[in-house]
Formats: sequence, structure tokens, C-alpha cells
Amino acid sequence: MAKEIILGIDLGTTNSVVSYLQADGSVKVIPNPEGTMTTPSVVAFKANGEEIVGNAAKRQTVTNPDTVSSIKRKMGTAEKVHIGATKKDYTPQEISAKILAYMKKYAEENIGHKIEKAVITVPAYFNDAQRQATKDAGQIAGLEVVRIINEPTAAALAYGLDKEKSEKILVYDLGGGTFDVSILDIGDGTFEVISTAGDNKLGGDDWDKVVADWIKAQIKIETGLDITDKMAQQRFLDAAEKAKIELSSSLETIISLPFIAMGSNGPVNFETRLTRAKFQDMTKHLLARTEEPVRRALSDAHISASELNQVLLIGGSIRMPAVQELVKKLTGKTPNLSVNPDEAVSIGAAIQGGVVSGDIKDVVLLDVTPLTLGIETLGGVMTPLINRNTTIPTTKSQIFSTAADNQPAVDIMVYQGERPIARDNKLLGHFQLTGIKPARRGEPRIEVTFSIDVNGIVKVQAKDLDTQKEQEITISGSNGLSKEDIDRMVREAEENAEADNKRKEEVELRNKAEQYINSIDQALQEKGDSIDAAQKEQTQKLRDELKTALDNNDMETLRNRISELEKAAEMMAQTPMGGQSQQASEGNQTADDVVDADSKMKQ
Amino acid sequence: MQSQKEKHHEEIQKLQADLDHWKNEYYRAYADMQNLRKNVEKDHREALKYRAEGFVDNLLPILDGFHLALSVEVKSEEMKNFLVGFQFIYRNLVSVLEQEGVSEVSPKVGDKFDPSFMQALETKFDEGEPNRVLQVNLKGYKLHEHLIRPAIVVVSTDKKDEDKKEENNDSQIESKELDA
Repeated sequence: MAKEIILGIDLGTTNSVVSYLQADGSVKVIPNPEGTMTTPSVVAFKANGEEIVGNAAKRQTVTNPDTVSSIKRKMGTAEKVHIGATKKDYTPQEISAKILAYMKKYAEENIGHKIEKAVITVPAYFNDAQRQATKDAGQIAGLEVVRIINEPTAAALAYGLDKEKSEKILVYDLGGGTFDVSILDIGDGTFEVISTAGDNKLGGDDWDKVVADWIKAQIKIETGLDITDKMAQQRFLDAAEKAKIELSSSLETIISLPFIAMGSNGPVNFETRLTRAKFQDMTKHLLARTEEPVRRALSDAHISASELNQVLLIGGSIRMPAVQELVKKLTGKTPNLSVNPDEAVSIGAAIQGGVVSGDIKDVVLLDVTPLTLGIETLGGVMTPLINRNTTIPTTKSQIFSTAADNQPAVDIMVYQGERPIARDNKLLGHFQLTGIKPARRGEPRIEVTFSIDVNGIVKVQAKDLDTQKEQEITISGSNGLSKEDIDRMVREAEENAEADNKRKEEVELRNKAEQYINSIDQALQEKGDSIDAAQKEQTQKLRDELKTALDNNDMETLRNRISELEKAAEMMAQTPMGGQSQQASEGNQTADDVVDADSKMKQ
Repeated sequence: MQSQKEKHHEEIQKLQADLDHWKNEYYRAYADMQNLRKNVEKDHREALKYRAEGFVDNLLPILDGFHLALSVEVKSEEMKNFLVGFQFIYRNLVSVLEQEGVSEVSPKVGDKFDPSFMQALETKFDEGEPNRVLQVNLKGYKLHEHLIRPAIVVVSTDKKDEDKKEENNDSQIESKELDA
């Protein structure tokens, strides 16, 4: 690895996430040994001295009074947690350290070597004592905490916000158990939190509880049974969470709970529909609780919603459409949702880690080709050699051939753009490769090589592999397009995609028909005498039909005849009979392997 | 003459340093790429291995439904025959899942409670040893090495006063959870 790795750790109240910056500048979130990206911030102690952290600790909560969760709420206080099993008192930082140590360990296992440094995030409202406690926790866990950064700042980093650009940002963070709003002022190389608000007892779990209670009430209405056993409660909660998640993508879900209890007539089965509207109605009081903090944060920051440049949503619960709608209503901005909301804070911390280690500065910023580069081939089709968004420098070669018998030269027309018909794109340049030996169409092998160097200069070379003759062109203006031009070209390609593809399909059909006519002519000429008269006549008829359809631009007939021909060729290929079938399948092969170069040849 | 030579010497040294720098960068880029590729390959293998994870997770309520249905005792012969048929269907389903790498995690009553693959639903007083499985409410499932869902169990405790104990337990956890 290039530089030392600095972990980015989101040490959360309910869950924690760890990630790191990879050599290519992308961030990887590290899964825990159970394969999940988030780890419950729970620590448990057992009488035999064993300590359990994460999922396993959470699972044994009810069996063990020495289970500590939500320790983050106590960070920075002098309060200690008494653990009966070890007869010891632990500071909040000692408990947090166990979570950090666990994450450090599985991160090291995943990466394959020791890691000593981390950036840890804290809520923006954390005071100095709380920040110091977090730093101490890292140290106890064997991590040098190179930076403590604010969670909303980390979110902004994860979204790639530029600290040089002056912007005001609202970060809305609705997690499993806490809700935070922050207003950030970015500019002059700093991220400044100008206000925060929130509700530290509000999260996605509350939504689940409302639905679970509703399910329980519905069962009572339907069956008269008041189900109170713990297993059933657990099933209600699981079903509620599942319904909530499903209602984020669909408008209605079915909650199905077979065998939920035993009644006098045997098993009680419960099933009901829950619409998104009903779900939103029954949880609207929870959503309303996020409104006030948003308003408060804005007023504390002395700005109005219209002054916000961006709104970022983080925390798993923001996947609920009602949350997104509310934020849109409150701020008038369409929220940015492009980063995984569970991982954004940790990702931002990892990016900060990269800045600290110097990796970010060192990341070689490689350009990509903004548009596809290719050449014009038979029928005016754009044949791409280098696709858009390919990282440069890069080189790509493909072998082409001639489109006509005894074609002495090929024109290499270099185009840039996304449209399938070459002339709809931008012509960058063209040149000719001459001196091709007389040969049947499709026989010469001409290698076309595109290479783009680190400065974006495109070199196109064509080489006749039979004669080793070559010709090339250097184009330096391929990056001369403005952002607007590029966007316009991509947009036009999208808008015209349907019509363009139809045109391209027609051209390909015509090419195919020409190829078949050519093959048939060739076969009749070479083996005409050995074919029986009836077959010869039939073949001749087919050829003429194709030719007429081609001349009249009759796509329907062309399509039908070609598909018949292909079927026939396939059948004959299966029961080898020689002659025509052989010819047809050979024709197919050349069509697959070699793309005919443009037939605009010099006569 | 001397200074000219020195100048050249300096120039050569500078170029040599430059060359070393770029050579190093070049090899580093290659090494980074190879390491990255190894990681991507590893992640890809993992992703393939666990491709069914979400699907299996969605199937669990269905398997649970089978368990619940098949554990009901019935008296009529006709019903029994139906249940046998359903038993077969269930086993077929399980065998298909096993082929995909799914395995059951089904602790037995009396097993030591192990939170690495069991989740305690509640604790109950029991004369026997504490921290043992008293009842298995739901089987757990693994896909290869990943636990998709722990087995849901009731765990024994030696604390006699059940209600008081539970209250204590709750309040203690609560106190540890509460805000500062």
C-alpha cells in the first residue's frame, strides 16, 4: 500500500461504521466478521472475564445485566458504569474503547496488516470534554486519533463538497435512535458548524414500534385476542420493520403473520395490507418531531431556507419517502441522496484520514474521456474504440477490414460523441491508409489503434497487418469541448436514442443484406455448376429479392428474408451438406470477427 | 570548463533523481493497481458467495411459517396426512437452500447459550444450570459463514424472583442507556 492507512470511524450511539481510503482514492467500508457494514455499539461483560462486542453483545442483552449500550450518551461525563461481573467501574471512554478495539481488529483482519491511526467522528454539539473523551477512547483502543471531526462535516466530505467554495449546507441526520440537524458554513478552506439542533430520543426504531403496536391492535380487533408473549412482540417488530422498508419503495405492502397465536379454533393467522399513506398517517407525529429542530437550526444560524445551497440527508431512516418530502417542503431544496446514508459519516472520516496522511493530495487526478471516440464504419455507423468515462492514458485496438472487393484504401474518420450514426457526432479528423493489396472484401486486416496520452492528446493509427504499412493522425483538440458542449452531446444522444438505434439497426440490416448478396454471388460464381438447377434458381431468387428490397429500402422484407436465410443457414449448419450452407455460415463468421471499415475508398 | 562540468554533473544528478522519482511512482502505481485488483477479486468472490443473502433473509419468515405450522399437533387422520405432505414440501425447500449454502442453526434445549449465533428473547427461572437454552422459539440460519439470523431462544437464569430480576435488569440497562 502506498501510504499508511488511517481508519475513518463513525462511533455512533446505536451503531458504528469503519472504512478507509484505498489507493485509488475511493473509500471502502469494512464489513464486520458477520458480513454487515454496521456494528451495534454494544459491549457486554461476562463473569469469566470474557467481553463481547457488537452483534453478539446485542443478542445477549436480556440475559446479562452487564450489557452496556448507548454509552455515547455518557461520553465526557464523570459517571462510571458498574459492571457486576468484573466488580469494576468503567469510564465511558473505556467502554467506547472496547467498541473501537473490536472495529480496529476486524479492520486489520480485512486489510491484512496492523493499523495505528484513526479519524473519529462526533456530533457537532459535543463539547471539549466529550471530544477529549472520544480521543481517549481511541487511545485506550490502541489507535492514535489524528483528528476528531464533526459528523455533519464528515457527511459533507463524503458528498465531495469543496471546502474552497462558499456554501451553506443543512445536514439532516435521522439514525436508528437519534436525530440531529446541523447547518454548515463552508468556505475559505474550512467547514464551520454554525448551528445544531435535534432530538436525541428519536429514530427509525420509533417508527417500527408504532407499526408493531398497530399490528397488535388490529389482531385484537379482528380476533379479540390480546397477544402479549415476547415472541409475538418480536415478530410484530420484525414485521413492522420489514413493512417500513418495503413501503420506502412500494405504495402498499402485505403484513403476514401466520400462526401468530393459538386460539380456541386452532392457529390464529393474521394478514393485512398496509398502504404507504396509512403508514405515513400513523407515524406523522414522529415526523413532525423533526420539523421543529430544522426550523430552530435555521433560525439559530440566522439564515432562511432559501439561503441554503444544499441539503444532505444521512442516517438509515431518511430512506422513508415521507422524510425526504418533509425536508423538501421545509427547505425548498431537493435533498442530495447519492451517498449511502448509513455509511456517509464513516466515509467522510476516511476521506479526512486521507487528507491527514497526504494520500488525497497524492492521488494522481486522472482524467477521463468525456465522450466516446470511434471511427465511421460501413453504412455510416459509429464504431466506438474508447468509451466515454474511460480513465486515461489508455490504448485500444481493433481489427477492421475492407467493405468492397479490391478496395485499395480505407478512410479512417475519427469521431467523438455518443450518437450511433457517425455524422451526428463531432468529426475530429481523418486520414487515409492506402496501398492495400487487391483482395476480396473482408480479407485485408487493418488494425486501428486509438491511444490517449496523459495530456488528453489522441493518436489514431491504422496499420495494414499484411503489408505492415501504417498511417497515423494526432488530434490535440479532443478535450477542447466545454462542459456545456459535453453535456449537450450526451443529452442529445439520450434524447435521440430510440430514433438513432432504429437508424443504426437499419444500417446494420442493409450491411447484412449486402454481405449475403455478396456471399451468394461469390458462391454462385465459384460453385454454380456443381449446384443443382432448382437450388440455384431458388438461391438466385432469394438474392434478387434481397437486392430489390435493399434498393427500395424495404426494411420489412429485408428483415424477413434475412431471418429466413439465417434460419436456413443454421439448419444446414446442423446437418452439414456443404455448398451454400458452408458459405453462409462462413459469411456469418466474418461478419462477427471483422467490422468492415468505411467503404469511402479512393478509386 | 570546470563549472561547465559541474553544471552537467548537477544536471545529471537532477535528472537521475527525477528518473528515480518517476520510476518509483510508476512501480507504485502498478503495485497499487495489483493490490486493488486483488482486493476487488476478493470482494467479488465474497459477493458471489453471498449473493443470495438478501434472498435467504426474505425466505426466513416462510421457513418460520412452516415450522410453526408443522409443530401444531393435530388429531384427525386427514389433517395428519396433509401435514406429512407439507413436511415433504418443507424438506424439499430446505434441501434446495442447503445446496445454496444455507444451514440451520438449531440449538437444543440444555445447550449453553451462545450469543455468537443465538439471540435471547427473555430469561426464565430454572432449577437447573443458568445460562442454558430453555426453549428454541425460532431456528437461526447461516449462509456459508455469515449468520443471516440468530436462533431466537429463551435462556435459563438462577435468579428466583423472576419479576424483580427482570425489573432490575431493565432498569440497570436503562440507567446505562440514559443520557448524561
